Amino acid sequence: MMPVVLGLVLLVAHPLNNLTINQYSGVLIGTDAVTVDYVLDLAEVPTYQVRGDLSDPRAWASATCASVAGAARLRIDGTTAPLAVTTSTVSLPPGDAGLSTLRLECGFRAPATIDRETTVSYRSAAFADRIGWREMTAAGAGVAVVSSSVPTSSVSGRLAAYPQDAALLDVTEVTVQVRPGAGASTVDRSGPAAAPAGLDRLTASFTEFVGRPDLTLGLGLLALALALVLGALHAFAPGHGKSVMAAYLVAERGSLRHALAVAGTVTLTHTAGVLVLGIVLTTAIRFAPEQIYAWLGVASGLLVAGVGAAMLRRARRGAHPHDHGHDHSHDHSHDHGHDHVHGHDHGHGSGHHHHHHHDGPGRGGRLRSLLAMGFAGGLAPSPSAVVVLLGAIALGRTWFGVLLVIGYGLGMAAALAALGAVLARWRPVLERRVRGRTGRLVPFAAAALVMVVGLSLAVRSVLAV
Amino acid sequence: MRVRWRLVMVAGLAVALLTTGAVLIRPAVPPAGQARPGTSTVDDLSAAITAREARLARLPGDWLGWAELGMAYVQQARVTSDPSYYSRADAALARSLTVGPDANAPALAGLGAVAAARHEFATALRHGQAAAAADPYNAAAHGVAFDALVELGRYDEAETAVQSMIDLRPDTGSYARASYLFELRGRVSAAREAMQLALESASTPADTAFARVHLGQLAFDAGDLTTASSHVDEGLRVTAADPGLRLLRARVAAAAGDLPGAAIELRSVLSRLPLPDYAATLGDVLAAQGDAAGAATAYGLVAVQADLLAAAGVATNLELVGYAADRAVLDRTPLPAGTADKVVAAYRARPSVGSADTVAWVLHAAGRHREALSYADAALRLGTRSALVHFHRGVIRLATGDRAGARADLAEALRINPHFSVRYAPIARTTLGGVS
Repeated sequence: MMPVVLGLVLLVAHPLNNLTINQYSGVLIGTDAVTVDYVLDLAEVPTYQVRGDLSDPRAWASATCASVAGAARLRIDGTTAPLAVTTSTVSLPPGDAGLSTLRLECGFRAPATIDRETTVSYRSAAFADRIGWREMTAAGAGVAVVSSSVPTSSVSGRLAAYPQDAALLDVTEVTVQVRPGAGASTVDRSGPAAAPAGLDRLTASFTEFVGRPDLTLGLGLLALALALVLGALHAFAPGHGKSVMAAYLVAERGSLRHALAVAGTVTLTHTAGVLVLGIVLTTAIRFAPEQIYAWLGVASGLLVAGVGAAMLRRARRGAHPHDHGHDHSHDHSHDHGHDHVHGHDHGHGSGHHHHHHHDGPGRGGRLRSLLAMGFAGGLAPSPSAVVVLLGAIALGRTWFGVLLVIGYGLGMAAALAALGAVLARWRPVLERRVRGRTGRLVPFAAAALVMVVGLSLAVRSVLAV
Repeated sequence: MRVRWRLVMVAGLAVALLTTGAVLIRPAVPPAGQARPGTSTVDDLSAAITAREARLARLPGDWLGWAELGMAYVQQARVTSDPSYYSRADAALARSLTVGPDANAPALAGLGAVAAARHEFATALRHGQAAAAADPYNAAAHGVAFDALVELGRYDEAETAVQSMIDLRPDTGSYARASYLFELRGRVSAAREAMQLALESASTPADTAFARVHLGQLAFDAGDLTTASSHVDEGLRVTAADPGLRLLRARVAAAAGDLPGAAIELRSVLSRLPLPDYAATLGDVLAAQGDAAGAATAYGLVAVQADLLAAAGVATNLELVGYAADRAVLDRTPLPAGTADKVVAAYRARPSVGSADTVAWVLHAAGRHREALSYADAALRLGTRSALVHFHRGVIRLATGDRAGARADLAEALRINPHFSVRYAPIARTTLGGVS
């Protein structure tokens, strides 16, 4: 009848509630033996549960100590050493509501000779499935402790007083390194795990921003604007082939239209890539995103290198007529971009070839490499966009995350388009400055640059795999 | 034109990708502040708590971090049954509200969850509604409000809350709540479908076990032992040690006549987690076997926990009082003096149909049959298909002299689930024979 509040029945203002079975094991390593000081503290309810067996408390105590010793395992340098029960005492201290609790103390001993550096490990499996405090300590007597996975003294005073503010302790295993000689026992407690590697700070603050629970329309728009800015910054970040695109536009006499086409492809590929990766990462458990990034990087690099090779071929083929076109181009520099727009729509046959003849044979190749360029640029999804998407998904705001990724891509596109526009506007001016032999070498140099950058991207990614 | 077509195709592809992306991508990690019915293991939670505590020691101004820590404590309290975690949760959530904004939905939802755990449902509702007002898109806030509204008997508002929760996040937590509401309203097949969806969206073994327990329980409550058994088996395949699944396995075994097998299973579960529900079920099984001494010891485990709660100054716990009423009716163990009045007072703070059933049964055990009848009617006001609740009203009607009404209720109880209780089902049969 009450599935919703099931399990919330017991509400007691007790530091450790009266269902618990609490255990302490103090491992003491001497020169000739390892002893364990074992304490069992049963709260009221488990004490009630064993009540029926307590008619002979001493018999119960020795039987329980024997079964705890049997369930424990002591290993000295990898060899199991059987534990013998040396002492067993039981008492029934009063608890809440007129009920009693139970305290059992056992002594265990196993002979051991510590005459060289030795590893001692102890594991306790008694009452493993019961809720309770499980504490272990380890110390040396006449031997020096080199390292230990637990402290030397009990924080609960051997289950006499549980710390109020500590989380439930659950230590069932100890490994101690000891060597002969009484030196100062250097206790090395394993520290907390290292913090995860720091994300890009701007992205981190952005993700936190997206995670705000009180997300209003204004904040949402602000987040979208931030996504655009981040995308634009990402476009100019090194190592993502943006410089390659610039070189491409210079070499191939790209226009604003070319820039827009590349930018659009980049946005589409990037958005799709991030979404696909988002799906993969949220549906597949234990998937190493670094591997995906690396392989996508390889693919992207090879694609760029391929485009570079195609550009080099075109530059060589176009070396002669290029001179001719060159003269025209600065005469009609103003019309240039405009003409291109029409050129694409009308296809091969339609006019303007008097200063566009270099488009002729290489035309289909150019469109292909243009798209390939954009594809390569967007292929390697930026980790920060993926982080933003996953963050939004984790917050149950998938649509918002998708919107932000689109914004991110649009930011990239805008930055690339702006770059393209600047190049398209200023290339003629540049070309007027750089004339003759040097001018003719520009396409070759740019094509070579594209190839080299592509190859280096691929090689770097291969190394990262 | 070819270029245009290509553009159209690319755009179409992009739209398709975006749509599948939005449909396929679901939260893999439950957002912080979510009150989930399922639980993770103690180890996972302890590790998460330690990591959060370490982070907050470095960044004490991280209000979201404090809210998450508070919710982790709430979760830990549920998993370990250690209520001391609720005080820690309170402290962490209060800290979150101090360092963070007033409209701090995660912290408010956390406070609501703590209040609900303490059975302070009016407070829980206030916090849940404040959280939902601070952030209407916080599914956990609607979940907290739902839990409180159900306990307060405000089922129409609860329906709105759970609908918001499902719209925001269709997951195990929201579907399970919807299923519970359907169940209360007697819409058993809808409850089953919703719980099936909860199972399908389960992302952890604990969630799967939770959904299997309730699917199995729904089948058991309809008398379908085969389906109940298959849900238990499926669930135990995922989490072999889940106490809820093992409890249900014992109930199914007992209903099928295997009382010794049920007793072994229950003793094994109790040696791990001595909760009152398990102890009372073992008592019933042992009593049905004729082992009066064993039954007394098992029922004693329930009484001990009631005594401990009373000693700790906790207000009347309706679940535990219900067991005391069973003892009074079945074993002639008198109810402690004043129990009936305390239970009526407790009902005012928690006027749910489930509470009404308990109050009716306690009043009946105390000999106040006329009053009991009005609560028994209130317990069935939503049309809940519960054999036990119909049995309770049948017995109460008989005590007030309404033989026809008693006959109808007892027959209905046995029709809904002939195996509803190893102790009460035989009584229902003989009583029905007597009044026919």
